[in-house]
Amino acid sequence: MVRVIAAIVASALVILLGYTVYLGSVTDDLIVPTNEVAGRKAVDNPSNNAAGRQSIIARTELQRWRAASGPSPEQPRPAAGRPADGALKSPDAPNIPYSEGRAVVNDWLSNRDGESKMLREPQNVSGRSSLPGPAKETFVQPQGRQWRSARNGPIAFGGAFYLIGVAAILAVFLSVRGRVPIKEGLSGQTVSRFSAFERANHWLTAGSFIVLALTGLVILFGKDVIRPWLGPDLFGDLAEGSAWLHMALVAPLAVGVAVMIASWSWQNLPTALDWKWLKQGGGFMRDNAPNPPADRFNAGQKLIFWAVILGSIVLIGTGLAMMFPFLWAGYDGMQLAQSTHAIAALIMIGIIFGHIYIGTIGMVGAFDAIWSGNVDRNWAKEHHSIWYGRLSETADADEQKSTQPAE
Amino acid sequence: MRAFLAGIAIMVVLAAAGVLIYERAALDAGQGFISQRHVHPPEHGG
Repeated sequence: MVRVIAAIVASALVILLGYTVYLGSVTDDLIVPTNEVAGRKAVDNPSNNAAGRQSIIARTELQRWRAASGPSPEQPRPAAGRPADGALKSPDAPNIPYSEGRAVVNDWLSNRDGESKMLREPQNVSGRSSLPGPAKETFVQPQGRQWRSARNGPIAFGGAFYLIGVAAILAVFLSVRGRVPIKEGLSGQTVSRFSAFERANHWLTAGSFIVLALTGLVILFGKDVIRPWLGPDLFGDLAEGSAWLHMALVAPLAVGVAVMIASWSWQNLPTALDWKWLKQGGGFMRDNAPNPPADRFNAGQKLIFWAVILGSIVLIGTGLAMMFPFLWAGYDGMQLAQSTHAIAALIMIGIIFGHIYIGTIGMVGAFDAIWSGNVDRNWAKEHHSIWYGRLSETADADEQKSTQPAE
Repeated sequence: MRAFLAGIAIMVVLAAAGVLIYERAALDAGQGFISQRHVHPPEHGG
């Protein structure tokens, strides 16, 4: 039954994957201004349709007209800087004749050194401003368009493709393989696997990560995916709440990860057994495949552990750079931080999909470890034979001590 | 179940503490974004 449901879910995900590819291929990266003022009131961005394109063309025409008529159409055209013979030559390319409009602009710029930076400064347009706040003197930052284009294009569509793809692979795997069973069946006896402290810290970290992931997905995809369904007002509240929660959950995640580093790092150091475990796929692929030996954490769990630790460090670092704008990073730095944050988060969410899968529906008996703290003896023997052997030796020793007569 | 609830409870407490610490740190850095209390420079009335 589980396999049938998994096959249906896998089919739906494959269709969704195809739709994502289609959307990614038809969405061009027309970059439109973020807002416009018309008739003395703000209007929304023009859409990427015929009317939107017409709006962009109209703006461009307006700029061309301004270039042809000078900075202010009411004022006489400035003549300063024009050569005595009247020849109109560009100082940058004297052999190329250029239009009257451009000559006028050039004349204007030649007398206004401060303003000339608006056209000649290749990176940022800077000046003086009476506005409060950091970085107030940067008026235009052209790289921002590249960042926005990357965020809304390859990162958003690539991220959606990756997440849906990982979910589809897991669903296909479940439909083909089924749940990984306990080969000897349930023994009815349990052994303690995780202490209450370890489990509470796991749920502290997991709960924080899930809320951060969901709110982060709202921030990245909400405008395109949720807003059309929810409407602008409700989506506005959702987006604001998501941004708040996203920042609020940084502290719990940081504490949870720090405690994990302190309590589990040494048990997750790589050993020679890990390669053997990986080569055999953990013994998960077939019912009759032998289970490779593993200590308290197998190679798969170790990979998840280090991905969570390193990923969280990257996410918290880049997140803090955005939470304190202009304190450590300028525009370029924050754009880099945002792109890194989004890519690292998407990769990590995909990895956690795998972790949740194998810890719940993917494997019989695994979820008990982190829920009640106790696992079936046969599960422990099959998946963590070295750890189970050590546990049994200790238990035997304890038993022998307790049965010895007091002297 | 109890460990799960304990973990979630700690998460909520730390989140609330985190917001307060963040707001304090942001105000110290001259920002205060989370409360929308933008800090204006003295020439604009503080």
